[in-house]
Amino acid sequence: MTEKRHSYRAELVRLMDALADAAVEASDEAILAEAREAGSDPAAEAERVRAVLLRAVRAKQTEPLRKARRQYEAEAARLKTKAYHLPETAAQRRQLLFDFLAARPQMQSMVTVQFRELDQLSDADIEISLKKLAELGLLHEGEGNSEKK
Amino acid sequence: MSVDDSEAANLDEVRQAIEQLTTADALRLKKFAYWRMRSLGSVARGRDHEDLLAEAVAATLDSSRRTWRKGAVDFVRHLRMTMQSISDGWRDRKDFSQILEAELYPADPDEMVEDPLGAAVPTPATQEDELIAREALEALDQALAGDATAKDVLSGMRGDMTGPEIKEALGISETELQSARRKITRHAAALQTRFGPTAIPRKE
Repeated sequence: MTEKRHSYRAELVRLMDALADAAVEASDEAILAEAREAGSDPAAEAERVRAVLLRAVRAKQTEPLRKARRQYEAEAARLKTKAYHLPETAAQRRQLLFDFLAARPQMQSMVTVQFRELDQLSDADIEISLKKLAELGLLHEGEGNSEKK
Repeated sequence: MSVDDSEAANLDEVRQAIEQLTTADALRLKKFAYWRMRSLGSVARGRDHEDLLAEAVAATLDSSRRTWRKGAVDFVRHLRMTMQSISDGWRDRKDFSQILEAELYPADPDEMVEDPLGAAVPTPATQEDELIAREALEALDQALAGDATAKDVLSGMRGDMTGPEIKEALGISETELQSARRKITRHAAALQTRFGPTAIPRKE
C-alpha cells in the first residue's frame, strides 16, 4: 500500500482556514485593535465592507432590468443580421413598397412620417421600410417574408 | 430539517442587516473572507475577498441557493457559513482537476503507482505549491521564534485543532489564545507578500 506523502500545502490551507475561524471568534476589542495596528481606520474599513455587500444587493435588485436590456440588445442585433427575401434590385424594391402602399393607403403615413415623401425616399430608406413591414408580418407570401440567416 | 419559506429573509431584510452590521462584525466578515481566499492559492484565479463577500450575498438572495433563515441564525453567522461553503466549492473543483492531472501525467515515471487515486502522485504544479507552502510555514516558524506559546498555538492550528482544543491541550487562557492568534495572524499577513497566490491580474 502506498503511503500518503505529507503535504505542506494542505497544512498551510489548514492554517489559513484556522486564521479565518480565529477572525470570527476574536472579541470586538481584538478585531478593532488589530485593524488599528495594521494602520487602518476600522470605521472606514467597515464602511467599505458594507458597500461591497450592498453593491451585491443592488446587483440582484437590478438583475431583471439588466436581463431585459440584454434580451432587447440581442433582439436588435438579430434583426440587424436577419436575412429578408426582398427583390434583388433597388428599383424592384421601390416598386414593391409603392405597390404595397398603393394597396394600403392608410399605411402610407406610417412609412413617410419617419422619412420623407414617398418619391424622396432613398434606396436605404426603402429597404429599411420593407424590412420593418416584413418583421411585422405585413408583407405577404412572395412579398419579401423574413427568415433567419 | 425542512426550510420554512416564511422564515427566509427578503431582499430588504438582507439590506437592512447589512446596513446594521457593527464595525467589528464587518471587519470579522472581511477577515474571514480574506483568509478563505488566501487558502485557495492559485485557484482563486484573481478573485479576492470582496468577490467572496459579494458571492455570499448573491447566494443569500437566490432562493435556489442559501437563503438566510433569520429566525434560526444571525446574519454574520449565516454569511460566514455561506462563504465557507462557496470557497470550499471553489477549492474542491481545483482538487478534482489535480487528481485527474496526477492520474494522467505523473512527474516521474518511477513514481507511478498502481492506484493513482489512492495516493498523491506529484505533478509539476503540485510540487511548486508544496515548495512554496513549506517555505511559508518555515518562515512563519522563524518569525515566532522566542514565543513558545505562539509556536504551540500555531502547531495546533496547523493540526486542525479548534480554539477550545488548543486551550485545553496547552492549558492557556482565552486571552493568551487570542493574543497568540493575533501575533500569528500579523506575521502570516506580512508573509503573504512573499508567499501569496501566484499573481494573476484581478478580473475587471
